[in-house]
Amino acid sequence: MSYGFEILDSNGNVVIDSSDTTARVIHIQYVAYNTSSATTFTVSSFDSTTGFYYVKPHITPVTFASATATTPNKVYDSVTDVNFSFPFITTSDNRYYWEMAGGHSEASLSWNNSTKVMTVSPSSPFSHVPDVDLGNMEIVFMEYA
Amino acid sequence: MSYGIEFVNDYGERVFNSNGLMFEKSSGTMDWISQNGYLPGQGQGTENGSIFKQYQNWGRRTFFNGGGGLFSGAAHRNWTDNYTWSDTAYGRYLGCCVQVVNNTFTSKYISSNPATWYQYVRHAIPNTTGQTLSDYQELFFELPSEGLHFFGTFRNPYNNFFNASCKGLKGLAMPHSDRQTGISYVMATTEKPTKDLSTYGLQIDDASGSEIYDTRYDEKAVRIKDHVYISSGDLYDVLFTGATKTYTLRQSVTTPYIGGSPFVNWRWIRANTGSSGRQVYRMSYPKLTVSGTTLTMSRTEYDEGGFGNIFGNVLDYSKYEGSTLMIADMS
Repeated sequence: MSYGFEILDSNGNVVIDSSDTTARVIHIQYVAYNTSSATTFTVSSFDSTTGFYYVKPHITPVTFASATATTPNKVYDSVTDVNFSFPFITTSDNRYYWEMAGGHSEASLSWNNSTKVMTVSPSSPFSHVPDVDLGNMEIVFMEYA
Repeated sequence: MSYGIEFVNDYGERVFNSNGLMFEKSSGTMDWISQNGYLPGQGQGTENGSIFKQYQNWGRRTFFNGGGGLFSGAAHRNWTDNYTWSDTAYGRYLGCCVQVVNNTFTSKYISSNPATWYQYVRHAIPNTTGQTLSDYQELFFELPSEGLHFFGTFRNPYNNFFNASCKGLKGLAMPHSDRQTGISYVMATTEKPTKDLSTYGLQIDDASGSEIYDTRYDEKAVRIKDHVYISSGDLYDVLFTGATKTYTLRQSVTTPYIGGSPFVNWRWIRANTGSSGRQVYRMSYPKLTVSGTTLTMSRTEYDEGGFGNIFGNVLDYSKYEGSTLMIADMS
């Protein structure tokens, strides 16, 4: 490079230089799945002109009453039940437990850079698996400039 | 700031403007799934566990929130064994492709009804339970020259599935079938590395005196070279029309790794187009490759068929959604 900077380790290897972006995690927002209405929250420190965001799904356990049941008995909430100890045992009532990679990643995310408000709108469940189109997530906000 | 030093990169960005840098904490090679497993878009099975989802009949299937292929469980049993790969040939299986970080199958955590339905959960990557800005973890996956069909990182926030080792991050990736060895991964964290205090260096603080970076750190910062947003429209074009999309990176990446939003997109069809009128299942994935400054997304179709006469209706399921991807150089 003609101008810029380099940071070397003790062995003389470049560990970071002026070609790097060093995207930085500045905010993590946990979002519970919501089938009926949009979720909004504010991230005052985020600027979409100098950052981006992405979704990380949570695994979401669900119980069903039987192998053929189409409606879950319970969907565990990875936000409020974050430290829930899920046993995964079969009970005498023939309950079935399911582990889901939820994530709600089909939700529509809309960022307003003026108001600093993120709107997470529910999406239409997949038509063939409407009962299990569930799941919480976290949204990671990164800054690179 | 009133006084200080700014580190500005080639693009005019302040690389130490805030806390939250990610450092390369650990790395490894992902394992092949070794028992019946499920690809995004696939489902159905009465034995063993998938990575993140188990189910027992056609009625439910979820993978990345809404997977849903309808492959027959019987047809896919032992699919990781004794099959070779092909993009298009009939009668081939897609096995041996899902990879899981820290794939430990030693924990059978449920014996449901009937007892032959064993469920498994894979352990999380060790030391990935952080959920705050100061101890957050993220995975980056090798982007091989053969291409990557999907990748994703998930959090299991619960204390216990089988035991506490299941809490944390899990990841998966699927390379193109030409790739016959495991994909490498790097676990990055915002946790500050230890540093060698016996020597001198440069410490960079923010305006409140909080440490952002220190040149004496024992671990490298993740060198993110660019980020790309791939829209659902582009994914549709690739999956449904076979289009090829290219994205220009602002610089070449020597050893590309990829992270960010789960990139899990697929189209699954069941059609009666196989040889001798037999039914064919076709799974289509986008394929990501990087060459120079070009990130390319094209389509790969994997077919299987020939194991039944025509039955049922033509089915056409798909899942695709926009993703923000980070491209890092792990040289």
